[in-house]
Amino acid sequence: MMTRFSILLLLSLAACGTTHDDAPHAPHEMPATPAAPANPAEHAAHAEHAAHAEHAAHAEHAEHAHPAAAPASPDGRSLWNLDADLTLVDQTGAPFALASLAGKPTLLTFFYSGCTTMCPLIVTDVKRIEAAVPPALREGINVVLITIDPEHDTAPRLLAVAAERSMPARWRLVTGDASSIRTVASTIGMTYRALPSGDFAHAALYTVLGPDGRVVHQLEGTGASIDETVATLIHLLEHDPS
Amino acid sequence: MRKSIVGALFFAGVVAFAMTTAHADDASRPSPLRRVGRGVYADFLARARPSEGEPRVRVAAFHLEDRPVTRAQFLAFVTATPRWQRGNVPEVLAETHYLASWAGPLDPGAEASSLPVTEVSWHAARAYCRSRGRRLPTEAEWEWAARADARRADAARDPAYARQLLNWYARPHGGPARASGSGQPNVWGVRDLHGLIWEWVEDFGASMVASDDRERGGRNAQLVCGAGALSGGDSTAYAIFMRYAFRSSLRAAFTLPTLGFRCASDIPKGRR
Repeated sequence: MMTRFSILLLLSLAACGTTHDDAPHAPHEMPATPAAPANPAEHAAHAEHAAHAEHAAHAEHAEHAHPAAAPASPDGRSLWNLDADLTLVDQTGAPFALASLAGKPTLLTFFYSGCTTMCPLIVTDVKRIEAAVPPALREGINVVLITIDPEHDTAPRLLAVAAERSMPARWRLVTGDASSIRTVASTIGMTYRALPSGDFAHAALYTVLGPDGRVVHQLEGTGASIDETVATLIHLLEHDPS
Repeated sequence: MRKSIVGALFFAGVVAFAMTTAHADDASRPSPLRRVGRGVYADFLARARPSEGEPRVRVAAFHLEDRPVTRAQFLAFVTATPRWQRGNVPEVLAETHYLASWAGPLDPGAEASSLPVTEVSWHAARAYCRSRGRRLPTEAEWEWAARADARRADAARDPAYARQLLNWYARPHGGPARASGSGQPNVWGVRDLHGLIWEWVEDFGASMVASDDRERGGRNAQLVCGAGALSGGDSTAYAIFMRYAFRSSLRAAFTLPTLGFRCASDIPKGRR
């Protein structure tokens, strides 16, 4: 049995090493965790999950003849499993379920409208990624931006922001209760906290979901190379045309 | 004669059943809440993110359960909520080690009911608290409550207090070794914040996000390096650094044998 101290030492050392930005990403890998799992057995388990996930992803894509609707019983790793505990709406005020994204790959990120520093860069990155996908395929991608400031970012506010910042009408801007947003964010490793000034400290995290709702790729940091993110989206589109 | 013996046996059986039931009910009832008064403390990580200009953390008074949630309490929850029983929970909500040391999905082990429940994900911990009309404490709330010792609301700068924590962190632990609530209460009447298990908080890992660190996407890896503890500016804070580093490494679906939780709740503004 590993000692608590050595577990912590491992965690600290892992955190000092490779980050998302440094780590090489293969086009449909499972997301790297921000630090090493707490013990080698768990690490091995994660590696197995990743291998299994990739294998299963290919197998399932081949079988997915009519992917337009969410399956009745989603894969255990699918974000669709979160829906039971979520109360979210999009910029039109319509209820938003993650499972409504089923059947298409999704580019998902977080922002908030009052953010004048990092969030414009995040929106720019999303536009950059979308623009790098061939036009014929572009419509096959869901683009979802979830606010981390639901108190101020109501649905009408998001609708106005979409217009102000020239976001395509098909993008879905999502708000809801704070707990629901924290649930989605924490599940995929997005961290943020409110500052006394009313702003938020937050990561910039772009997540690609497969048509079945599983996380298949993540990119962290604004202005980073988007090549692998784009390659992942194109791969998903070509292997699972909807 | 025979009738009276049968009657007596029946009566004894009813009493025994009632006592057992009452005992089980007691053990599975939610833990009492203790009032933790408002506080202000130096932000351990402030020096590492000077641009935020807020060197202090302010916490409003809140209620916190007096001990970590026990296996018996969690059993009552999963019994009432089958979707959270082992075997029914999708991997995205809890990894495969979820409640792995339980003898069965509804059997935490005869000797283990009073132990703090561990091997639970953040999602499961939140679901439990919600079922009790409560919530997980925030990281700031938990840290504030954990700065208390038996006499003082904030003993964290006392080297003796820090040494005690580091001694615990340095000892090998495979999992909780004693009953939840068996430790001494701190000044708020809250027990076992230290020395038994690690605990989930609502916004785990968020403290490590630096608002001015765009190249790293906001996640400042330096905060959790060994040097990060020194940048805290106070060597007695090393124990605190260990907790932040640990929490920042977690993912919501993790189910570790040393990680449990307790619930909190708001105090209405007029009553703080």
